Amino acid sequence: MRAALTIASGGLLLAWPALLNGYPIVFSDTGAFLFQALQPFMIWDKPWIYGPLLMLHGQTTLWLPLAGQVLLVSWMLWQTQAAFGPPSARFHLTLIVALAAVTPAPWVASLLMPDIFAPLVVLGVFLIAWGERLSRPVRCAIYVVTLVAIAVHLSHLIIAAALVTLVLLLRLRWRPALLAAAPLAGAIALLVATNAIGHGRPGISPFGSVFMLARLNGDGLVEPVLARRCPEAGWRLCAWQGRLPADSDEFLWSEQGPVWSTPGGPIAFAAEASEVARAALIASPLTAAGNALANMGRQVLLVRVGDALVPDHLPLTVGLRLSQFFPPAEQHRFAASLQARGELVAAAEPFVRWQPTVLAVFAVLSLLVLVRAAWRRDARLASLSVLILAACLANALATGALSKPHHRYQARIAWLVLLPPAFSIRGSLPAGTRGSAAPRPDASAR
Amino acid sequence: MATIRVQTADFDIGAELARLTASRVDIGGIGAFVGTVRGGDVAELMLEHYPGMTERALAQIVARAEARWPLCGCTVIHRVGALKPGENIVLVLAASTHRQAALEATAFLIDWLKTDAPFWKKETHTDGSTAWVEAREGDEIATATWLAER
Repeated sequence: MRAALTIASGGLLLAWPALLNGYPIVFSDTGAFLFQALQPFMIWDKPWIYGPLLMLHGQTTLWLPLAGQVLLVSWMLWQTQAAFGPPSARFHLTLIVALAAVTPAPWVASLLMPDIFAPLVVLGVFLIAWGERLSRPVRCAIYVVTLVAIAVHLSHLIIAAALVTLVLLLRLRWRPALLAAAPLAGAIALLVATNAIGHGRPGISPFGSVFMLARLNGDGLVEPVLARRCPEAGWRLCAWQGRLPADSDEFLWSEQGPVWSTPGGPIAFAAEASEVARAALIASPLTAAGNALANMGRQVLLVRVGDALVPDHLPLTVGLRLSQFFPPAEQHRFAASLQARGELVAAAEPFVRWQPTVLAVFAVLSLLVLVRAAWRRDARLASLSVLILAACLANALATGALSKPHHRYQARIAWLVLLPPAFSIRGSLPAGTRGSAAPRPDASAR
Repeated sequence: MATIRVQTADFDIGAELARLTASRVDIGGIGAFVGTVRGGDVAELMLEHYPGMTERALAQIVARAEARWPLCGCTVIHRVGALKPGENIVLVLAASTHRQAALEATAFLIDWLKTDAPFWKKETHTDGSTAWVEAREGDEIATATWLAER
């Protein structure tokens, strides 16, 4: 009971940006996820996973899925603490207060987007590989959470694959690596199944090549291919030779651009995109790899939450879905929010201003904790540090290098760097000063 | 305030008319257009779109119509998903104080919807073959005519 209260309190603390806003924080894509589930409708670039999860709202209020998200984060942090020893309510709440005060964690948890599941992939893989202290039911629940967390966004597959590889390297045994790989395999199976049913194409990302091509074009690798292969190749893209939009977002999303002006849009364009992208990668593999690393480097440094707080396009996305599917009271709640009124960025500024500096400091501290833990043969803490730092890089590679660097992409996961120093401090405290351990049935299953 | 919706479900023309005119006494005429799936050798029409982006494009088209004619209200509802011949695809309603503005705005809206709204149509023919529908030259000419008339 005490553990449940602690987890609930932690969830409430993480929801403070939504409370400040007067409504869960939303993004224009939140409207697409609502549409995805409520129609239902398959969207070419979005796995059919997060939309159905949002259905927790029961077409009454989006506060319900928000509550689900913050409670899940609090629960996963509680279990992470339990992996180090009997968890204490005081430590849990102190950790969450720190996360809520100085990191993007509460902003990401209060945002109704799949972003918050990226850090849960990291915690999930850690708990599966190093959570021997957890009870069987808890571990089963962690499997399910991790599987869903991987499946909600395609970039999470790359993060999970990197982490599973690390588990194999760190544990040097097949069993933990296979256990950690199980949610990844499950997520892949789920994606293949939903795409087979919804799009009639059994694949992880049937139209993902369009994103890859946009990135390669943004890096200047597509025009040379067109110059060499057109018009013989017979690609529609040949008509765009010499006038392709240089910006990958414009390439992808402009209504007058090459993707959307193709009859059939990105869905019909995907086959040609695969062909052109393959040709570009074969022609300039080293340049493509160098560009990917450079974009990854840029992405690692972009950790502000600001671009998720703006009201851009919300009336015709989230606002429209609320008017289509929700009671008028919910529409009024959204319309009255700081974000809908365009005031959230200014309201958030005093709280988020120092977050990049704080995260940089904690990233360095995490490295130091890693070195110290390795020196002291504290495998669990060293492994958590390695997984978190590697996940930050894998996330930057998956988002920055394959899409385009955006602040929101890295802010979602960078707050994890607070955990290694926090658990290091917890480990050095005398048992009596960690706060009273809540009696938990799963803590005894070792 | 215009009503703009993209949905898989069919629409009720009577209900939409009633919604448009509720508590209004300034409306003198309403132009209406209902697009339906033409049969012939088409067994099914699949309409694809991108939620959010499509509605933004529809809103821009409606804003152009509102800037051009004194409209009292306007409704644009477009269906997506798999549709059979005879089913409704699109509803356009334009209300104004005078019939000419209402009728012209309706024609303008549907012409621009055909060329500028990001929907993709995939036809499945009765012989089982499929093809994405290319933009028709006639549609482009219709929108060009509106531009020329400005």
